[in-house]
Amino acid sequence: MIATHDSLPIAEARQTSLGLYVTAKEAYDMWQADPGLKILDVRTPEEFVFVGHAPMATSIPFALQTYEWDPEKKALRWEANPEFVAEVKAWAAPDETILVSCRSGGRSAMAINTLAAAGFTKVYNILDGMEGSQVKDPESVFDGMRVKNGWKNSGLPWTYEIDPERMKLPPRQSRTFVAGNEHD
Amino acid sequence: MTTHVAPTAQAPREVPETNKTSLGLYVSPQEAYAMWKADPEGVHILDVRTFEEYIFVGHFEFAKNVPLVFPRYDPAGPSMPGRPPGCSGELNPDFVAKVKEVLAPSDTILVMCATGGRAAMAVNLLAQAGFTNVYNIITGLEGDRIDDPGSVYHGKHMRNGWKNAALPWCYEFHPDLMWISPDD
Repeated sequence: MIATHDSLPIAEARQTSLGLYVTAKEAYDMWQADPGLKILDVRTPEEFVFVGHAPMATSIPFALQTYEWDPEKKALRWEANPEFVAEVKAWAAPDETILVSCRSGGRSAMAINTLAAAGFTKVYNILDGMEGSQVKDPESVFDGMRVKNGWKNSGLPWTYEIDPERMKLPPRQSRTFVAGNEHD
Repeated sequence: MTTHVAPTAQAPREVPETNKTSLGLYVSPQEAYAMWKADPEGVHILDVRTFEEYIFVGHFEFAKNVPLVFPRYDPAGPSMPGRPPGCSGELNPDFVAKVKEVLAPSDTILVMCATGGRAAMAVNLLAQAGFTNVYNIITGLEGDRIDDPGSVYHGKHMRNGWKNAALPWCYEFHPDLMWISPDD
């Protein structure tokens, strides 16, 4: 059973200044009732292409993956997309309803707070995102896998196919190369 | 470490033309995992997908990651068919050099990508460079797409491959197994 957002505890990392939340299933129902409704996917272009995406979503990445290891956080560093707000403004008006998705609700919250600060007012966080949370059950063969909730696990349509009109690529060339050439 | 470990008896298999290699060595994901399990020090699994695929789609925990191709976005640059303007892939010019830093030409190396195409290109490049025991893990990590318009999974990478064979995979990674930056 897919919970409605009312019954989901909203982790601090998923909370937004606008306080508007939906589940993936609720987002899809809203879009079906009004196919003009805008769905924004803020993951990296690579996630959009390789992990898959909702066919009606538009890709405007909020942050990009760098290849620099952060030894303190034990993770690869992220880098903000400097064109994020400008790209969203070119695509939607500040009073339009926008449903925002990422992997599992964290980056979309950051993106929404950034948009709210830029004057957007009706921006919902899709709490469980495209992939959903990881199963936390060491006895399960799915332990650690993202099969708990989220758009892809809710029986909603998704695809690998690209509509070039729906991808707003960040202004960036391949990263490792540029750095590598500097060292050569 | 320069052991050559042969796979167990192989069932006849069909390898698509694009996934064939000059060495003619092929294993299924199940065979690859069994070979690695039998000799984790002597058998090396090499994942040639992009960093983003390795991280976001997931990977075999102990696979070394040296990308064969990097994603590239450059509005003024070339586009791949079906991709947004400026979205393309660029061959990693340091691929063979980087593999040579971590593996020897006589090592047993099992190469995987998403479905077996890039892995074949990687095997051919390594063969040209003098590597002799390099296998293509056919069907790759993700596997081929289901070709059945009546299936709700039509078009999804769910036909075969490592992930669909219930072999272990994860999102967490060991940075020392990845070529994170060129000056590592």
